[in-house]
Amino acid sequence: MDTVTCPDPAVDAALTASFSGYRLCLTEKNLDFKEAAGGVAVPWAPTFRYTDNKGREIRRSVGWYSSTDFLAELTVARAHYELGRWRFDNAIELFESVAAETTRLAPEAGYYAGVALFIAGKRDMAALKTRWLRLIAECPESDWAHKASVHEDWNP
Amino acid sequence: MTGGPTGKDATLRGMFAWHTDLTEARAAAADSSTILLSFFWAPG
Repeated sequence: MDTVTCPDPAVDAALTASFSGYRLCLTEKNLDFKEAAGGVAVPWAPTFRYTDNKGREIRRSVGWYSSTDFLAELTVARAHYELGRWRFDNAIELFESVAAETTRLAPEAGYYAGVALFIAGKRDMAALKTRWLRLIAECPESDWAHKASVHEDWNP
Repeated sequence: MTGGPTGKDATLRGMFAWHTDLTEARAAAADSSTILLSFFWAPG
């Protein structure tokens, strides 16, 4: 992440615009480790944990990202943040912006766009199903399409 | 204290300042528009 992804000017700008970064090494003793990790083990690096200003975890992800994928990852984190604050229009817009791109985050973003539509519409099952059907059509081999296929078991 | 760019490769490492103190990082994310990103890394 230090040699390729984070130095990318676009990644740098995205981080600077919306994030405060706390960086800690897994191999060094750190008294704040447990708190930073949310009391959950961190067995592998890189791990990214996103929290809001009340300390609530928004998202956690593991593994290296290319610059393009990491930009999408940061946008998905922002979308979850907006969703948690009930700013549904912002969340849907951010999820859909990632879903419209060709990064490996696109299927997940499409999945959560459906979730955001569901919550925004006060349990709008029709909106959720429509969005997930689109996900299944556009990314049929993805894990997220597989997860979305649960709608087939729902009663109308 | 913040981490981030040091030495001759500062330009390559970008300008985003990673905090190495959790309290400072949290304070910088105290407003309602900033997300705290904890980045667990390992050398190698």
